[in-house]
Amino acid sequence: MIGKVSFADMRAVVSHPRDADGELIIRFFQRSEALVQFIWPPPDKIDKHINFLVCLVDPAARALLETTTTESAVAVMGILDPARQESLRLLSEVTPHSVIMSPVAPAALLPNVVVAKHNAKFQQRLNVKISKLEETLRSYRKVEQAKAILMRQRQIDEPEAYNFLREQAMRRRVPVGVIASAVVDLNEVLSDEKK
Amino acid sequence: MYEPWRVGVLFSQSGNTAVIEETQLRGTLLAIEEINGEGGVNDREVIPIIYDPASNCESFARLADRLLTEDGVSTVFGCYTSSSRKAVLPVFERRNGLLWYPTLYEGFEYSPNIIYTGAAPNQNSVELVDFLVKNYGTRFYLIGSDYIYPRESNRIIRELLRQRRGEVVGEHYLDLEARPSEFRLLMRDVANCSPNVIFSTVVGQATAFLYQAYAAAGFSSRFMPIASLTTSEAEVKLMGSDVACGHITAAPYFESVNTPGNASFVSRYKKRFGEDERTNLCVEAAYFQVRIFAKALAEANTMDPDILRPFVLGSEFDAPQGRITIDRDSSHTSLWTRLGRVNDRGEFEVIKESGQAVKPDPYLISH
Repeated sequence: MIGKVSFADMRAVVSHPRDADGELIIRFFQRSEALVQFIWPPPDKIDKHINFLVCLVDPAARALLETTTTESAVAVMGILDPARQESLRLLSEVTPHSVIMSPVAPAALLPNVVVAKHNAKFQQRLNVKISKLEETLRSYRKVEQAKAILMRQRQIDEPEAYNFLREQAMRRRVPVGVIASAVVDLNEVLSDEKK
Repeated sequence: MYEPWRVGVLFSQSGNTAVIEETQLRGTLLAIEEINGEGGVNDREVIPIIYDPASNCESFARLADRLLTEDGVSTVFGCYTSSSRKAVLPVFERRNGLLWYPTLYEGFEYSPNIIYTGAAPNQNSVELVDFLVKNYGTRFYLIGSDYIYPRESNRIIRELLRQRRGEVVGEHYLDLEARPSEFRLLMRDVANCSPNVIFSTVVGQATAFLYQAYAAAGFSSRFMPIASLTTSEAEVKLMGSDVACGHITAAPYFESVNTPGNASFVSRYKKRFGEDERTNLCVEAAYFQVRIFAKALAEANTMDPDILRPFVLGSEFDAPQGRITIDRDSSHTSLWTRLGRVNDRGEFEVIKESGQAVKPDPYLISH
């Protein structure tokens, strides 16, 4: 992989002053076939289609670094001037997916771009997994509530209550959590009426 | 032909679960050979890289890593036991591979890097427990091999039984390497507890020892059958038809199922591997998952899991068990629910079946 590398699917933004480091970074991306643009001073946000960001770890870029490192759709590689105390502090707060010291050594670029790309993707997959599991937990709670309501109101046992929910979900071709939410919501409305 | 598609294959050809994993390997190979015979996928041959993890979880993890790094493949067909799946899961998630897992398991898992093509508990256990409680009684004796799947599966069985006012009158786990004498000893305790059903989660070659010990103890399958989710045609062959007769298994597929595609599937399998060889639920899942992979690959034309996976999710296929669908939400598969009872020729007679594929509910949210 090293030596002949192509980032043809990469759409990168370099948010860095156009100094020696900046020029070096731009040339690296151009050689590796990535689409790349310079933006300095740093914007607060970048376009949705951007999937790689190189950003100077500088207080001026705080907003940009904060949004991009929390929404992990974009891989972020930081450039750090270790002499500046405020940059070091910012680094520990925003933690990019990889980081290179300034002045940038050309050989440091490739491995750090690769690592940032992979770290961001891994984080993304874990986030997908977590949101799936959270969704599962939410429906679990709803289904338990709906089951209890059905058992109480219809005088049926547990398997019958579950059966009812499953059959309704199947008939309407929606997830069972949706049916359960409807039962719980309706029950709330009805008990409000009684009060 | 252009450069081939390379895929990894991880099924044990030695060790205590080889008896069933070898059949999964055969199902995988049959599908790959058929695909290549039909011209490959987009004119490119599918080449399997096959390793033998020898029923050892550490080997599974090591070989999975080798496949995804040194060999550079991203799609792997493999794993039987839940402990081997748990061992390779972090490897697939970290390296962004795609594991196709053709085995029933205990549920309660979701990984964006796994396609689950075996049954989840709502597709076998629920119907089986209902049937057993209705026809034999509520007193269950649980016997399992000592690892994750049996313990987790029995936790679910216990819950399903509680909902149906049943009880667990005994629960016992034996080592995967347990000897016949240990099973014979256990039969004394079974007799003392007088259950209505023995629920077995024993896997691998030890399965034969359980059923043989049962027969030797003089129990009758008419009054106290052994019920299982894992005893398939492969294990029946190992223990002998006379010993297996009358016992019950829940599975999406049996060799005897009467669907438009099954007769041809069984004869192709026998033609390839020998007249004595029999298909089973694991062969079938191992077979159809490669077929679904090839269909998705033809559309995606890349092995990159991020691109391939969306073509897999939601895809439908006429499998030997009937029409099935890979479920978009859960990465599991909509499968048929069937109950089979072994007859005196060692074949499973289907005694109950769902009218269509049942949507997977791996977290048993609605049970």
